[in-house]
Amino acid sequence: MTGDVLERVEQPASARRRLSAALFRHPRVRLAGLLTLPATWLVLVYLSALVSLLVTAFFTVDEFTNAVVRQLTLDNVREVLTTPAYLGAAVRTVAIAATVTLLCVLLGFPMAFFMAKVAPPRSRNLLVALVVTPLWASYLVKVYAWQAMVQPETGLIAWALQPFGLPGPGFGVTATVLTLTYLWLPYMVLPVYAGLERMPDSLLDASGDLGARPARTVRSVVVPLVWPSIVAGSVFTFSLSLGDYITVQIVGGRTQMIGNIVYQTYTSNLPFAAAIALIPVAIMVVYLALVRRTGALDTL
Amino acid sequence: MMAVGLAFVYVPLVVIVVNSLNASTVFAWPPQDFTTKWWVQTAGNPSVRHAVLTSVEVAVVATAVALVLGTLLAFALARYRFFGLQAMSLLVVLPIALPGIVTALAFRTGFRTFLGLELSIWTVAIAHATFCVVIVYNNAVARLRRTGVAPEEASMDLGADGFTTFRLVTFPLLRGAMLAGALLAFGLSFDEIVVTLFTAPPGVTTLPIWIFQNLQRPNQAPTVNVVAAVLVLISVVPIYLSQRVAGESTAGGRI
Amino acid sequence: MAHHRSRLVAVGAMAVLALSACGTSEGSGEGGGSAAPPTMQALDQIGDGEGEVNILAWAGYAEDGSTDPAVDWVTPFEQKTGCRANVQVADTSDSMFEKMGTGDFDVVSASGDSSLRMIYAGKVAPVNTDLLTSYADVPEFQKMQAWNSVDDVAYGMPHGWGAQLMAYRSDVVTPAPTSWDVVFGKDSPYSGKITDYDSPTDGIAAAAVYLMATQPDLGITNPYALDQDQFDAAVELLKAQQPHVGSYWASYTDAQKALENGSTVVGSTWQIIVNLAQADAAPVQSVLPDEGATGWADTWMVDAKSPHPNCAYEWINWVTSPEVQAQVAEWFGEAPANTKACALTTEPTHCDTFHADDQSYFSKIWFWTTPQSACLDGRTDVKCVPYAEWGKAWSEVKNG
Repeated sequence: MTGDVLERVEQPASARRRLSAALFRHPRVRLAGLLTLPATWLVLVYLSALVSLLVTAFFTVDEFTNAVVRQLTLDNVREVLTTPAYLGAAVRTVAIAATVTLLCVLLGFPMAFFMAKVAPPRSRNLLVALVVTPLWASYLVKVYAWQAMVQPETGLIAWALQPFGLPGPGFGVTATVLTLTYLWLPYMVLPVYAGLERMPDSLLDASGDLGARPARTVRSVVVPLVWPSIVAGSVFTFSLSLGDYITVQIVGGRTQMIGNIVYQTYTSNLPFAAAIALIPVAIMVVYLALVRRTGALDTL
Repeated sequence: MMAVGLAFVYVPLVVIVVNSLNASTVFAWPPQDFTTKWWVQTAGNPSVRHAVLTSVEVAVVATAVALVLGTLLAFALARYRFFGLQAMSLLVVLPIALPGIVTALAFRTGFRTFLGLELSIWTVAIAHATFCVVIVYNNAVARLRRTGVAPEEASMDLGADGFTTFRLVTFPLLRGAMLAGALLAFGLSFDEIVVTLFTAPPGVTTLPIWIFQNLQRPNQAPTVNVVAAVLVLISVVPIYLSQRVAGESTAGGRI
Repeated sequence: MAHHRSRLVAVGAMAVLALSACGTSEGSGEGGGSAAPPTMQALDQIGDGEGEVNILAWAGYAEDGSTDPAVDWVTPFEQKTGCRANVQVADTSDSMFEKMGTGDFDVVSASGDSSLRMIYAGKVAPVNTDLLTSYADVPEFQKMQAWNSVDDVAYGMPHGWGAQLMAYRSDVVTPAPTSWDVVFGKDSPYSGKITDYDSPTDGIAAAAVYLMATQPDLGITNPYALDQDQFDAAVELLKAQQPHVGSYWASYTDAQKALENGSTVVGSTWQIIVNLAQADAAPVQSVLPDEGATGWADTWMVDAKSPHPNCAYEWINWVTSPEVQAQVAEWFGEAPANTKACALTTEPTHCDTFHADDQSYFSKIWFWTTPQSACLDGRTDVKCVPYAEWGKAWSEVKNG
């Protein structure tokens, strides 16, 4: 038996084993091997495109052919930042995005709490499936369904409110906010649900034992613990609302958001569109930087 | 509260299904006339099938690429420390965190002017893959952090080389997260409209583009409702199953 | 160590910036409105069809039966020539301009506000009028115009023309309107239900047309040749109108839906929208108001990089042949370019209604064209506001 062991130990290592050992001893090589492909892809395909678009904001355009002329100028940026119409659009867009996020939290948190803590464990998968299913109904179809619902006078909401004598919301900011809240709700419910699921039930019991009412428990124990998940959900509801231009065209009447301006001007004046695009990019970068502190990015 | 929430979520879907049976094309409520002719019409419509096929092709390619890139990146960022780690983790989130139209416009100008590519189904797939990477990445990273290096080290202590360890220890642990990520990435790519509109040439029609084109035409709109209803109905089962398979809720969240 | 890192980052960032700055120019245009368009050859003769043709058209120009199964002149074309036609509908001239020049499309039905830009940007090739079977049947006042020719070189085949009309719900807007007052007037009773076509060129020019009649001391002689004061006045008028607008329409089906469900009751329109709404039994009418109107004169043009030039010419010849012109003109509601179509329309007075052969009527419509800083009305003492500014101003108007 001893002879066998000695033989096995003295066997020369196979090529694969030698390679594995070499890699083990050189973590940098392993890292390079892992990182090269994704890093090259992201930088070459995405980052370069993004930077070139943002740099275009500082160029100008040939007045007749709409070709981009590579002459550096601050005119576009200055115009975007000083014209009240565009600043108004930016403020309006941020307000809509913030409202949508708030509504998603107010509606989504109770739902997620119910799913994670109140519902019997067997039905949890079913509930999650029910919440996720609407994501598979096409975005456009859902928006057009809302258009049919908020139509003034003939829509479902107008019909439902008729007995109360109230008019429907019609097309406008209200309809836009409602529709966007509807669209992005699952993106808030799911991370919060995941966060709540990870939270031990014993904490709730302990809090109750110490004399806290349910509301107090939620406020002082649950929310701080799932805060990163809520923030993670908010990154999506905020960002998706900030850049949306299709929903507002369909249900928003004459409301304009930042995305619309970019969409309308990119063919005739790409540098100007890029300058406008700088606004939501800056907002999101700041938002992401703030969010990183809360650790939310780890739970996305 | 849950009931209210679910009602809010499902009323529009019910409206869609009801409208797919609505004889009028104006979608006033309540509907006056019902008919199944739209369902019949859609069943025989070749452009729908073609659009679905195109969407599936793009989504499969995008998901495959995202799986590879996302998993590689997850290992790199979860197991190592290096200069640029923060930058990398921000970069991978950007395609999804930045507003869609910015990403779409960036891809379009990037492909056509910087990379000199012509738009084709591949440009669509490349763009989709780029924002799907983060979905796979986050699921994988979460799982890697949770399992830690202990199982791998134990395996190597017991004599397995790096490759065997990966095959027999790491990969099985990671599988569930990768599957969850892949399913979410597939769903995201399948339904994506904004970036697709900007990166697809006229001949390429994914399902969202088909829906977009047909919702515009009053006579085709009911067909679109039928398609949407079908999508919802057939997706319930795989979603439920994916919840079971993915095990722990690393599937939580959009990514 | 930190120093090294931040320097590395800075260098890296600059490298990326430098690299990206290398490739950001769009389009093949040499720039400069007064420079000549790039020289290109027109097709010599029509050879065998390539089997396919990609058409970029206004809504209603290339119907293939999907809007109304009885309305189809694309399928007969495919059967006759063997060229499979892929039709894409464009909402605005800007989107047409952006899509041409890459070879993605073979032909486009360009209006005057994009056609000249396409010519100068090298996106469309000249046409060989000998190969156009119906060219001789088009009245002279539509050929070799400022928007479809440069230096005596023809760049397209005229398709048809019409005015931007005013649509109104006859059950809501009473008495029947005859003036743009009803959409521009300060105390319009239809506030909140006014609509306008979402186009910088048309929107601002239409306001200028109104000002030509209501504020003659501004001295506007051509709504596309506006100096800064005149331009500002037009934009002011539009900004005053904006709070009363229900929605701006870009897609013709949105305009139709809005008129049908009553969310808009009056505003700028195309005849086809009114026709479709009437077909749905909605009480919608149209009128050409007293102050005049903007309009469009469309030309079929061939993409400079067209991969199917033979099928492209086949399509142009098909859609401008008398039989098809009659169908298109009646379906869309416009004056056909090929006057031989007038004898073939199902409504015998169609051409009279649309003044197809009436040169003086044609000259009263302000056809879409591209504003340039060299004033189109010939003034040399002032600079006019160029197109790039129109787009921005329109965005400002819509954002209130």
